[in-house]
Amino acid sequence: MVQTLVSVADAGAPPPANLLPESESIYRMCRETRSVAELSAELKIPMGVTQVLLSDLADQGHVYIHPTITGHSPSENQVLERALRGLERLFQ
Amino acid sequence: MDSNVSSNNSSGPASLVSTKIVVAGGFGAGKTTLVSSVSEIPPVSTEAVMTEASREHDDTSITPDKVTTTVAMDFGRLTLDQELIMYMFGTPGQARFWFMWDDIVRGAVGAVIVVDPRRLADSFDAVDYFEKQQSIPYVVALNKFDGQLDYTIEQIREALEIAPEVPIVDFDARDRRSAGGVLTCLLEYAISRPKSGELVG
Repeated sequence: MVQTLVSVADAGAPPPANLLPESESIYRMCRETRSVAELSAELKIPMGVTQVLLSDLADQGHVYIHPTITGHSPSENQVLERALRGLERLFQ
Repeated sequence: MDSNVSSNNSSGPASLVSTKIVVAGGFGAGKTTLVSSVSEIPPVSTEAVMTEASREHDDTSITPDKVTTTVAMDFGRLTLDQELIMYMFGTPGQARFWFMWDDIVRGAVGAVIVVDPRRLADSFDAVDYFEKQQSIPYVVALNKFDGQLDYTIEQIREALEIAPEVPIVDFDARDRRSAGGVLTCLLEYAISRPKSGELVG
């Protein structure tokens, strides 16, 4: 999804060999945790293309896809509560 | 060996999770203003490429039947705690781009529909979209540009045919705390709403 965070396992490791230039740029940026939308915006690679390249990188074990919270299951309410407390802290 | 390249990952990057809300509304209602007011980064624009039927002046010899069109999508970010980041995605205002919404809306914890109370008709499509969605909780935020509302909230609820349980608040999109209050309202509503999962245990 567009908000999904992605990061590499070892930020110090060089990019794997034989990556497409775009995939290599994505890999380098993912040394710091980023969202799919941020990667797409900063690298000027369209969202759909970014998603496909990331999914290939993840399949090969090069990047880690972080969980996203949709709030649709009751078990996620705890995270929503955390989000609410965060918002209250920021905007009280 | 110092592998700690990024500065703020003290708790380990692997534990970071993200979530998103959607900011919808008619053209010029104040969606981007709301996102800019609350975002910790300047709103970023990314492009979604799509194809559409070509018009004469867009025609190319390589792709005679289709052209690609790019549509900007604005988003902002809020770090809510050390392990939780929330993104806010603005939807394209023009109705002809709304088929893109599904991709933006999927997986959102909720939506804010920004309404310009002077141009209620511009909000019909957005309200209609989220009424049909059902699964995404939404709140309606009346952007009072000059501090005055000509109608009561109940009159606006009736005019837009908004369900009685949906919160309607007035706010000033330019004001950070006021805009942040709308997000707080959305989260409170999302938490209080029964989840579909509770029905099946």
